[in-house]
Amino acid sequence: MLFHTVEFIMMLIIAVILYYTVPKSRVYVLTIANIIFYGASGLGFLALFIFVVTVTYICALKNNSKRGRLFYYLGLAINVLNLTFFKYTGFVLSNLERFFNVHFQWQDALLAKIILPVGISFYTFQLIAYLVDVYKKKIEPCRSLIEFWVFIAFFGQLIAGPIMRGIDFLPQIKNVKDIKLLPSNIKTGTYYILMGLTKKIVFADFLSSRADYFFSNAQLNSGLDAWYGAYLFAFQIYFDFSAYSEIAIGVGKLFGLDLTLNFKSPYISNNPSEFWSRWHITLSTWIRDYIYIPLGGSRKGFSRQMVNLIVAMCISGLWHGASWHFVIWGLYHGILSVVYKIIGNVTKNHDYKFVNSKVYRILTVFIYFQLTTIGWVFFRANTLTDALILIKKMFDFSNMHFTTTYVLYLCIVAVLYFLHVAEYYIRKDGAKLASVWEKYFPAPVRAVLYTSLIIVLILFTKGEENTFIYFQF
Amino acid sequence: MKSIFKITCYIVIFFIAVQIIIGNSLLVDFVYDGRPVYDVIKDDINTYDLALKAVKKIIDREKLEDYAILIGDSVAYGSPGPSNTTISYYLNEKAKAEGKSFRVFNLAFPAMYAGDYYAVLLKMQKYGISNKHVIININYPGFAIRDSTDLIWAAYWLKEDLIKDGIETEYKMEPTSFKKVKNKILRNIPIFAYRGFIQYRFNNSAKSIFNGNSVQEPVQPWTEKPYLYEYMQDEFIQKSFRDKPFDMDTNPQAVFLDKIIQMQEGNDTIIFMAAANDLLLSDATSKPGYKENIEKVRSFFKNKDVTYIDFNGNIDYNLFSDHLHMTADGYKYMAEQLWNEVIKWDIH
Repeated sequence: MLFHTVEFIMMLIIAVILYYTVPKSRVYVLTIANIIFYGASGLGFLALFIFVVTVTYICALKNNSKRGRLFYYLGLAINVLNLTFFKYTGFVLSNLERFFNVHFQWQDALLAKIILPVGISFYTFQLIAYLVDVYKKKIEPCRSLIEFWVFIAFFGQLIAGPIMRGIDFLPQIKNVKDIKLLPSNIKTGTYYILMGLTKKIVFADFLSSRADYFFSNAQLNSGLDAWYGAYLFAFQIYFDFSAYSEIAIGVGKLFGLDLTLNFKSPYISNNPSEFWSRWHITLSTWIRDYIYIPLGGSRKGFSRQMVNLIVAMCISGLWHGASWHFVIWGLYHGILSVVYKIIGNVTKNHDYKFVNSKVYRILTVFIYFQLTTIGWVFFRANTLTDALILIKKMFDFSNMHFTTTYVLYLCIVAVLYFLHVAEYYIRKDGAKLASVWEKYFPAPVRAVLYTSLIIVLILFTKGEENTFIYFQF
Repeated sequence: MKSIFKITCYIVIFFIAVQIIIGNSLLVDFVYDGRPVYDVIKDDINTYDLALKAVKKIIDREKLEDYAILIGDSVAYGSPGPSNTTISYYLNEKAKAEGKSFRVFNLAFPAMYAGDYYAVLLKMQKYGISNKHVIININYPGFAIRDSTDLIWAAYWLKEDLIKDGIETEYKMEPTSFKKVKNKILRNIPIFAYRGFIQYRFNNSAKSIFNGNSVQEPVQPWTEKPYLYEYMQDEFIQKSFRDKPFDMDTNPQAVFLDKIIQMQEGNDTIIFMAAANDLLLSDATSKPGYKENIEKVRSFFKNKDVTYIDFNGNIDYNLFSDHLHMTADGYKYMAEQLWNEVIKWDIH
């Protein structure tokens, strides 16, 4: 069930009404809503999901028993196997074929039967984080299966995050009965939902077909076309993914639940560390806490830290998709992080005044945005060969001829970037802007704008064929 | 909560107002640009009705009394060319040149057959569009490929309309589902009903900005398309021009053409048979069975109260764009021939 469908909006309205009219049964309302939401993608997927959630719940409960360690590994193994089987079987088999120069006759028949359950990458990471946190005694195991189910399967964030942690979300669900119906929550929730829908329907879906056009003609593109296509995709994926996360936050707010903000205007970052603290924050912190730090983080020397960074980023790439170009995308970002650390290490004892200037900031933001855009080529290209062709063209400056068309393209990219920066300031001064909006604009005027926005959203909705990009991960 | 309730009420009122405006506004061109907009309607045939509504709006707005409706398939539609190279366009040009206020509206749609035409005539009645002057296009494949004992085969797009009209068929309509009910409700809300057309317009404008302007090339004659010879061997084409004898008493096309002729009794009706490109389809059209079938169709119309024009053998081969469709000059030529009959009507 997609966020921009009539079905979802109807289900959401009904769930919110029931939630506030029957406070004692709130957890059951959410349970049923989650089942309906996920069940719409297929009853088989739902059964598998319930099974994995239940096993993880039991394994965590047994944490304090004599065989706690065994249950911990059992829980981890089931989750990892579930994800690996559904997501990576094809990848593993095709690489085995290539490596050993063999052909598995049965491979196509097997792969045809394996359909990736929606949201599997997200719920697996959330379940693993919970198991690890319980095992490391950071949190107590949840003692109610229904509450645990709501924690993992909350329909706002189930399919594409944010990846919530037990320490943040479980207490909220435990106290769900005490949540009051606050106008501020309804307003903020609606704001986030409309904001997310606008990003998805007006911008991401619109940019999608344009970006596809350039990526489907890798060989035919000129260098400037390749840059333009890469920029379009950079904004498409940002709008698409942050849209989902913001709708999730909005849905949570309507129920009085706080979900973690996943994106904070990432393209204003001027280095890898800042970028990953602004881009897909809950995944970045997950990789940091459950991959990078267990590998040793920065505790085992500088060179080991660099290796850990690269490994963690490659795993992040692989999480995004079972294909080498995702791994290369992760590796690319790993290398950027390593280079940044090395530069930081070399310059740490020097006091460059220029580094603290605004010009330096603008320059480095500009450079890092170009580097991020190049990275997106690996991510989006249909094949690794296509990615290399496009990147080669992007750096073939001898064949770049600026025509009026490219000036127009440049203006489009500039407008998109301007919107990105504007979003940063709107978020930064959100409360102030909201109070000005309510104070100086009477209700009918505000209603005209809201109605216009709703009309635009309806007009731009293409239908169910336009799913969110991260649904495939 | 009071302020939220207040705002919600305003939004509901404004939203309803917008629906009224869209429902009665000038979105006519979005739906009907000289013919129904195929790229949108093909994805949801229910939106074909909006084209009829648009035509009705133009008729009412311009207080037209003298007009004809062109019904047919891709030939009458003017495929593969744009809307200003169609038969209806050239007929309108002719009328204008002769100082007549007479207009021709094109309600043809690619892949329509006689059953669809009949359903269109029913819809015209429903929307108050006159069937006093009607021009209909038929072709050989309509008889050949839709040959069946089940009359539903006379229609491709508007099967459900025929079933609602009482046709006996083994065809099962899709059962009522949540999706079907939802779509039916949404179709009655103007913003949802017109959404596809607005998006189409917007996307076309945006495409020219984002992906550069592309000027539509004129439709090339078939002689410039060597791949067509291979395409003629396609199973669908072979079946479309097969020489299996037509049974004009049971053939679904013939049955529905009879119904149409009955319905048109007392009105002006021209039915024209689109020509087949004998050079490209020589294997099929040279067969005696094919020629006999063409003759059968001619005989079928002999004593009927309609004007029948058969374009077979009457068109310069250079005017074909493929095996059945025309270049702009080809459609212009057909319009001129049709005009010679239209002018005999009592039009002003």
